[in-house]
Order: sequence, then C-alpha cells, then structure tokens
Amino acid sequence: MKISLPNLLNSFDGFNALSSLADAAIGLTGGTLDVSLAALSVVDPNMAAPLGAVLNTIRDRSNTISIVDVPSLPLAVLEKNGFLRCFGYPDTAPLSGTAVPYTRFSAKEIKLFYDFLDLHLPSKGLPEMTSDFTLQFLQILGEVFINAETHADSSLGVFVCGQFYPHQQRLVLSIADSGVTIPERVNQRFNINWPAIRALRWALVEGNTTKRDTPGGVGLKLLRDFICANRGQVQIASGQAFWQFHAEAEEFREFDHVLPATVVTVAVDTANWQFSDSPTLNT
Amino acid sequence: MSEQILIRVADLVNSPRAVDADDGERVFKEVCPLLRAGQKVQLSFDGITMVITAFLNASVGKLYGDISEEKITELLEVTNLRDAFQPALDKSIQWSKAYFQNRSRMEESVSEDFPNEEQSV
Repeated sequence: MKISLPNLLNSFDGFNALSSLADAAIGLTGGTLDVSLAALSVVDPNMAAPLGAVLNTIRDRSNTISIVDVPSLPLAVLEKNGFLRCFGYPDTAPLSGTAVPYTRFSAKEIKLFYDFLDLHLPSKGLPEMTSDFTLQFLQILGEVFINAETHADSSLGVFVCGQFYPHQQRLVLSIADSGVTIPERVNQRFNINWPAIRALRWALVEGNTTKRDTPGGVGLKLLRDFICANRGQVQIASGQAFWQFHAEAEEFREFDHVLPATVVTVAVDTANWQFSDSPTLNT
Repeated sequence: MSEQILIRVADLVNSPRAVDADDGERVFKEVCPLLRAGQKVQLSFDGITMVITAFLNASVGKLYGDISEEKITELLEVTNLRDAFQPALDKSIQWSKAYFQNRSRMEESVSEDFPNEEQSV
C-alpha cells in the first residue's frame, strides 16, 4: 500500500491529513506501507511528533513502514530534527541547533522527559532554566506528558518534537501519544456516546477528570492560563476533535476521520516572560 | 503544644523533581498520620526544582479526603515552594476539596452537562 501525504502544517488541515492517513491504513495488518512525501512541499518540524505517533500505531499492527519520495526541503527538516533516522534513513545529517529533536519516551519516563528538556531547551530563546517563567513552562509540559500515562494508557509511548524560530521568537513543541484518545476516554469512563467535540469540551472544563478515586482536572487549566498570560497558542487534536486556543479566540473543529492519537501542541512567545499569576500580570 | 515536624519533599522523593504520583503517595503516607495525630507539620519544598499537579494531588490534595480542611489549615504549613508552582498547588487544593466534598461530582457533571442534548447511555 502506498499513501501520499499533503503538506503537514501545524494547523487543523495538518492534523486532518494525519487522520486521513490513519484511516487509509486502518485495515492494513501484516503488510507494507510506503508513505510518499512527494506532494509535500512544506512541513512544520513539530508535526514529526504526531506523524510518529500515527505511523507507530500502524507499525504496531505488524506492518512495515517506509517513507519514500522525500523532496529536498522536507528531507532537510525531517533529517535535522532526527525524525527520518527513526524510519531507516542514514544518520548523517547533524541535528539542527534550533530543533527540539524527535524523541520517543515510554509513558512512564517523565523524569527522562525532564532530562531531555534540560538538555534541549536552553538556547531556545527562553530565559534561564531556573526562572519562574521557564519553570512554569516546563511544569505545563510535564502536565501534558503525564496525561499520556495517567489517562491514555499509551503502550506505544509518547512522541515529542519541537522547533525554535529565533526571528519570530517563538518556540513550538508537540507532545503526542497514541493511546486512548480524550473523547474515547470520556465516553468509556461514563458509559456514554458523546460526539468527539462535546467530549473534548467537557474534558477542558476546569476540575473535570476521567480519573477514578482521585482528584484531578487541573493540568489543562494551568496550560490554558499559561498560554493566556504568554499570549501564545495551544492546540489539542484527539480522536476526531480539534481545539485551538489563544488569548483572543478558541475554535473547535471535527476531523474527517479519527486521529488515533492525542497531540498537544504548545507555541510560546519567548520574548514575553509573563506567566500565570505573575505579579506584574494585570489581566 | 507540639513542635512542628519538618518533612523535606526532596528527601522523600530522592530527587529534585516532584513529578510522579507515586512519589506524592509516599509523601502523603508520611504526612497524613502525623496530621491525624494532631501533629504540626512543615512540608518543605526546599531543593525541589519541578512540581506537577499529579504529585500535588497525591501528596497534598489527597489529605482533604482524610482530614478536615480546618485541621489541615491549622496543622500543615507548606514552605519553600517556588512562586511558579503556587498556582498548581492552589488549584490542586481547590479541586481536591471539591472532589472529596462530592465524590460523584464527575458523574453529575456529565448528566448535567448540555442538558438539552440527548445523551446516549
């Protein structure tokens, strides 16, 4: 089977393309999948994380996956963040200094995840790693990461990839897992059958949690507060639901197909060091 | 009046990072019996460089399921927590209290949520 991917931008369309990829390969078991990038002229580097999550879901059904027909620009991006070497490409291109390299963790490896952030986030435009702004940014990344362990039962692990854009003073990071999606989790927990967006809306309400016998439902609120203060952006793509939020607006949309993953993408303004409950923050 | 007992999170979790619910449970098991016995406790985050709510829910939030809020306020002092993590602690306590005041709150929220929409069960 050969599937061609369109441009993979950090947008609804980019995640929708991944939902279509997963759907096209849904019946493939014990087979071969060639993912052609011939039609791909632009790729946002952080999209390697959700792409990795989706491809590993397909590979987990005893399929062999190859990435083929890679044009020069995507080749450069996906080599420099280490994605292609995980799919059989030679390990020759040096990692870019602005990349947060594509890395796969076990869902239980939150401490290794923090070691990884300590290694790769300095020099990505953030203030020093011990500043309150950076500490709170690291904290919300941990809140996202641990959701994969607590909620998603993600046996395939957690996929992380990011990119710093020095001229825009913007750092974008995606954390993806291919475990139980948020809409699935809400529906399973309460034995209901809500549409994906309705379930995601519920999960985003402060204090709402699918955990049993223990309090929770705070991590996403902290994430939202941080993004508000920083005037950054957050996206969540999970199952068939997509949510995008920034200080001025939020948007819910439904994918054409089910994305077999939960992806949280955080974009922060590295020049704005306001953080949630920052003493100088008036809003 | 009994003297305050100092419990250092960093010693109990054996790490500068308090990011694991199991570590939080370890702290809970240390602190909870002392508070139950009416002992004053200082829970110090000195030396802790990272905290997430999974840890806070398990270590501090869970206390509200065993001990009254008044007693916790009287006996427990949290110290040396970085300003950056104070919102996480505040939220953890707020929602832990809400959870233990009404353990079926989540089920109720699902049945009350969007009440005009049909719910398939």
